[in-house]
Amino acid sequence: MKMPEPDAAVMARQVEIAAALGTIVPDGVIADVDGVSPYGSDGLVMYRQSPLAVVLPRTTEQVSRVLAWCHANGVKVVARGSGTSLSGGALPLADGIVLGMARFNRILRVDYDNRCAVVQPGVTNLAVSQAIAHKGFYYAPDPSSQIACSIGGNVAENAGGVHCLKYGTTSPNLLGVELVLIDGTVLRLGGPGQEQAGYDLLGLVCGSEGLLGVVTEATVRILPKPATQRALLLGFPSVADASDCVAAIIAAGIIPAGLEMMDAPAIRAAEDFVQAGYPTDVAALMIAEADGSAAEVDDQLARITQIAKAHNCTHLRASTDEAQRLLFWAGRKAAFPAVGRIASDYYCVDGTIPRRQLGAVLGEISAIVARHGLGVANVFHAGDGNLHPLVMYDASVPGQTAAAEAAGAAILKACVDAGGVLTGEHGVGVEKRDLMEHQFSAIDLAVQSRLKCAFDAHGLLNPGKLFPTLSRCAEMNAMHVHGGRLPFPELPRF
Amino acid sequence: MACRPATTEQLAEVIRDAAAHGRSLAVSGSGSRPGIGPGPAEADLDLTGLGGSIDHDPAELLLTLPASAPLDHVERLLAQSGQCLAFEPPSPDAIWGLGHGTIGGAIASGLSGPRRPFAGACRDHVLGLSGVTGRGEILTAGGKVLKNVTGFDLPRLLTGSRGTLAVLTQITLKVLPLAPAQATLLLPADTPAKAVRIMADALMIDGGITGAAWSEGAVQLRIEASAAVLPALVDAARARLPAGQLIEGDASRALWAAIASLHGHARADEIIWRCPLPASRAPALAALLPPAARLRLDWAGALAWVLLPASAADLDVHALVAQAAGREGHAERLRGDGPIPARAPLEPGVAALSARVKALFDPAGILSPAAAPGGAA
Repeated sequence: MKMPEPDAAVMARQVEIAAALGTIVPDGVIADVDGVSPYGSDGLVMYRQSPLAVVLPRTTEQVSRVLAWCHANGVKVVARGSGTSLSGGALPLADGIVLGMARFNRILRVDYDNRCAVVQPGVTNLAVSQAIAHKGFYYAPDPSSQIACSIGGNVAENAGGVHCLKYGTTSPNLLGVELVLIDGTVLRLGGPGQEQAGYDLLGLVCGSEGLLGVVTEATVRILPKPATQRALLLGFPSVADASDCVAAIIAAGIIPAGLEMMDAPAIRAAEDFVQAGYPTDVAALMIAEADGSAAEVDDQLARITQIAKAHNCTHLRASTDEAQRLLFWAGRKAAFPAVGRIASDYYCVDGTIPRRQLGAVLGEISAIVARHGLGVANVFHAGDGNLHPLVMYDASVPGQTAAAEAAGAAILKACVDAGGVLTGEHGVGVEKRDLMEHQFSAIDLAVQSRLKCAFDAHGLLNPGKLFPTLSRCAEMNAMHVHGGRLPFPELPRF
Repeated sequence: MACRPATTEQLAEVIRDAAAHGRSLAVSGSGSRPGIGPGPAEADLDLTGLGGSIDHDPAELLLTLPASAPLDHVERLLAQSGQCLAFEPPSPDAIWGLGHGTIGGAIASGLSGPRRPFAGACRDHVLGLSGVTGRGEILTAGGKVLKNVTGFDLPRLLTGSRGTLAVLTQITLKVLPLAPAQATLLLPADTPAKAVRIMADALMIDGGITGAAWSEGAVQLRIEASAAVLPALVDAARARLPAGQLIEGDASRALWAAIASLHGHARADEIIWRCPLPASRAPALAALLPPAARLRLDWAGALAWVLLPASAADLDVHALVAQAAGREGHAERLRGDGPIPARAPLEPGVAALSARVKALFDPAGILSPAAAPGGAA
């Protein structure tokens, strides 16, 4: 993966840059080689790059001043939450600083009457739910890294989880942000209400992968915990039966709280790892969870059971208590580390397809990994068609890392070719950046990347991520001149 | 002057030509929402010639359709498969009396109905879009899958942008099952403060609640479920709430269609203000209103409708919402005239950013310039 050519002149100013930022954040600048090294990578461990310096601000004012200084001095900035991105969203740049938001770790207020919580971006996803559990509330998005990943990172990546089909990814659960632009401007978008005036800039910022601004506060929607949650464990003799069953459940008007699927290699790895009681003689295993009132849950599970039986389900168990429900989930939630036990390394791919293409795409995935001499285990958020093939490889064998990356890219192209998209919840980052042209036309990409000019015209925030190339904003503005008059004469020109 | 392109390419040509000559275009579907429509422009862009097929895949929860598809037709089509637009777009007919509008108009206006606190807003159901930018570029954004975080979220940005960034031609929506049975509890509440309290309590009950509104001294609480389950949910809600009357089936459906669109709520000559704000601030807004004003609440109190007689046209509702909710609420006049602007200016930093976004999509400022946030560029 080629990153933008580092600016040698900026790199030569490393000591001066660290000193200047140290006057803004006196106890929060790390510039020594050993100190910055832990920030050199995120959850996409194939890539590593130490930054010029790491800055750890505590206040919005410090963030604003750091960004304004970087803006004035042409220094690039990569914001970082907990560093759990699986797409390299927080991968540093050799000529840029990392703006670590870990010290923004407070839940500022919980407004139960308006069902929202105002939290700082360094707060972990799970900590939000834990802080409001005593009042019977929780925060719905639940990425598998939820004990570690931060709300700021969730906003940047529009993070998902296993309950997205019913509750959505981060964006529908985000009501407002305080956002700092690269020039230091502090904006508030949205708030505790349910609708903002004007353009949906909040929706644009959510999932913008750190390219548009730095979030210093988030207002998230909180929900009362479901009165009842129960799960079914369903085994099928073929993936086709299981995926037909998913379609039939949805077509019957049921939106389960969770609808997960695993293929045979993933089932066996998970069962060996956590002994969740999964049947190991089935080709596909599904976990269907219903939540809500007891009456609704009983009704849904009864109807799902009936549909599953009509689709050749060979193994069927319903959770009878909370411990058993959690055990059903334990295998699925441990699927990644479980695959990590049977392969020295694995590469988690993330694409979404129209569900009806599942069988065909799975066949394609098997062929792709075989062609690269590798193995694969598949887990899916089956309800919304989000696939996570885990490509198994051995980084100590020369060529296998590159083979895994090549297989991942081929799998994502296959998802797009089947009518799907490159990423359902992990983001584009550096990982899928060069595949964007496979999904979008040149015009589609230009319209998207051009938006960066409204927020960050010099391309200082997280460049090298998301887009293969960035628009040249000065040229863009030249095109605005029409008949000798600028349409927005009050705006600064670059 | 009007132009009526028949293909997306012709539309792009019309827009490029208008941009080259700096000629503004009034972008509208069927013209059913004049109060939040394009406003004055040098030419009208008639989009009714841009047809196309409708592709509804119930098992995939997907609906792809041309922007010109009539909203009421779409809702009937979905109902045949037991599905719906879960954000419950309000029909514009009761407010403006010019028909039910198009799906493109519903998405471009971005208005969400009573299910918004429960099923999400209009913007949360728009998965993909095609359209033409103010530069005349033919654009496709988002995707035709349920879960997608690839690239900047243009579908959300364009939803509710009132046709000022791009002209929508095709839309892909997430559609959801429509519960087969419903009932509404009417719970007496003589003040907005009591109503907001009752609605907040009701929302703690887990069991099919999909609507919470207040008018005429009563909270209306909608419960939706399968026919087999509904009675148990109604009993559970009644056990935890003040005693009230029960309205079932089609009477309940009609009641909520009226709440969504204000049908039968707003008198023909009343000025209509729509005010989203935190639910807990609704009683403060109510206390600031003069006796001539009438108030309706939806979204469990997070949406206030202020209905005014013509004699109160000079009431500055923006100022009242600001007094009640600070910057956490806002107001827009959907119908009626008066000395008060229909929309308040955005906070300066947000206004400047919005203007920059507008300039990137539409540098010549030709797409419905009067409807851009903050008014004419």
